[in-house]
Amino acid sequence: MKSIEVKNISYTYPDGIEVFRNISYSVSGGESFGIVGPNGAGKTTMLLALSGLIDIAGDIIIEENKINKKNIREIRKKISYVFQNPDDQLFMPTVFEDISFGLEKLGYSDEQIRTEVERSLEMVSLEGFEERSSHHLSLGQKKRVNLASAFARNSGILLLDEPTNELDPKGRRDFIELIQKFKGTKVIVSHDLNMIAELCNKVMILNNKKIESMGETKKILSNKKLMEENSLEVPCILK
Amino acid sequence: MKHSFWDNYSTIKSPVHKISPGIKLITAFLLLMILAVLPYRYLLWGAPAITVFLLISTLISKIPLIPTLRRILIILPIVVPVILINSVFMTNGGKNSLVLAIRSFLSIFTLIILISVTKFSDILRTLRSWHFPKILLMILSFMYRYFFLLTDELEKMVRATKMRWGKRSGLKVIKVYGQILGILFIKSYIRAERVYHAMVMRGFNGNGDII
Amino acid sequence: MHIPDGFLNLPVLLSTGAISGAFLIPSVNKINRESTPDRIPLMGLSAAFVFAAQILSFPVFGGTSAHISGAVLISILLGPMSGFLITAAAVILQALLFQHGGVLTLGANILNIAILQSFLGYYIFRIFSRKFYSAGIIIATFIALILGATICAFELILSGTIPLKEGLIAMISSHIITGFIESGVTLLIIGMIKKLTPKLLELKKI
Repeated sequence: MKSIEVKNISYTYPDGIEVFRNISYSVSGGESFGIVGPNGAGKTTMLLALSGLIDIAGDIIIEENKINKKNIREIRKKISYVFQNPDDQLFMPTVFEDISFGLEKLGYSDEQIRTEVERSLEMVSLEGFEERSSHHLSLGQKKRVNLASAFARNSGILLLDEPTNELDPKGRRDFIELIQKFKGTKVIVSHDLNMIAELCNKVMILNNKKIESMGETKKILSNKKLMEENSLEVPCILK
Repeated sequence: MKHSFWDNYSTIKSPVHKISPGIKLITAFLLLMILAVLPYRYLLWGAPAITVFLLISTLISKIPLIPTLRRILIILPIVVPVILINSVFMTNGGKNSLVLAIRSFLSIFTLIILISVTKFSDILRTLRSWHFPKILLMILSFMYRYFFLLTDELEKMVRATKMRWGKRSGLKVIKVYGQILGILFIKSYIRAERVYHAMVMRGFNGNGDII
Repeated sequence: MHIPDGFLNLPVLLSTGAISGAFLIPSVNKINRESTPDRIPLMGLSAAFVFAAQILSFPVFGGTSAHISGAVLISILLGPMSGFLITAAAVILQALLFQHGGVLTLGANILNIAILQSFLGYYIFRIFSRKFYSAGIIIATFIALILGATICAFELILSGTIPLKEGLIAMISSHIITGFIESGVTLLIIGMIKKLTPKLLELKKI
């Protein structure tokens, strides 16, 4: 089954710069899909489009439902989005309140919320962090709370924007392992090509308003010429 | 960046910290009320009683005494000029000034203890259960959450300026600080858009949804 | 200008509290009715900005310092009721977290800082802004601040805390420099926004 289908989408930023022209692709259920490309290629914009956060031309179909104004709230229940900057996402004063924010909107009871928060914090090895203040957490802890919040919602699709950005090597390694715990469909946007090579089975190079190349991760990322043409580099683990 | 915020002690575990935040808020409010309305002759024995109560609370709640007492002095720059004006220009100045000093010092002591034994997020939760306007509580919650970050950004920009210039004063500084604040405001506005996206992705749908 | 607890008597505490409450309820209702969902984080972040801006000390000659309140700035950008709520929230947080101002005196401090500056500042600006945009900002900010300080002085005078003549003179004169800084900075920031993110000037004014 196709988890995400993108049909002929085009998008121009409000300031008039065109970013996508007639892009189409699809991601199958359970797949890990990487999106790479130079700065400004529209990688984050692509995630915003998949979430229905920007008005694009063309169709996006999430688990067989075409996104429109009416169903977007329902569709977003199927998607969890981990933003690049953990502070933008961790907007409630305590960890518990932050994770429960998304669960209350799903109609969970107080009891269910407590259980889910506890379970999801355990999954990211932050047991007992419920009452911690958001602003006192380290960057790595903030990112893990973001991920816990995604786990708690039990959605089928996980969008990750630069998940390993600014983490130290150990924190990066731990975080990659936590991402692997998510069994649904993953779409990962990143410059960390080693991580993409490790996590994704399929990858797409986004550049010059279009898909420059798409296919099996190893094949694409080890193509030196292709990578350099798109301001990328063959990741070490494929050399 | 480490923040020495005055609610740092609110995470200590003690019998006082365990008391329900509602009770602590009401107690503090009553103490402040008593201090505000008690006339001079009762204040003279009421003040020592309240002081003893506050000191005992400090000890039981395991918050450090000396920094707490030192913290009270932050109102000196406000209290001293007012008392000076009062005692020099007003009839009955001596008695008046004494009352002012007792009231203001004990009131601030009360507030310091309250915030040291109660988490700010618990205060918000309690006010919510008392039906305070949700929108105001939401603003307070965001403000508490993001104030730290914005202050860090602000400090970085100010430090960068000072490194280029050293210490200066005058119109030029006001202009540059103003520009720094302008940039900070625009950054905050852009961040608000991203926070909104994050809220929407977790099911937020507007005012009725504010928790 | 944040009055601590212990400086005001009961009649002044009650009446300023009542006035602030009377402004709060309709403002909350109107904002709930008219604002779009994205306005909630916007107001929250604006409030965090105001709070951060308030702790930046501007060095003034003679080794003293001044800080801005940001009330008129926010009202010009978001509207008087939003400006009022945001500034009121800042006053509340200052009292609780920094013990800067009191809790019983919240009514008075919200009146002097949030209500007077947001509403007065906004409407004075609106009167002048058609013909004299920049001058309007300066005049609105300055008058609103000085009036806030004057009302603050009267609250203290009515409570018997400071004497009439000397109290008024001290209060107003000490706010003149702050008033100039606040007006200049407000003008500067709005000028920057006009140049860099003009859409911020077109936000709905509530």
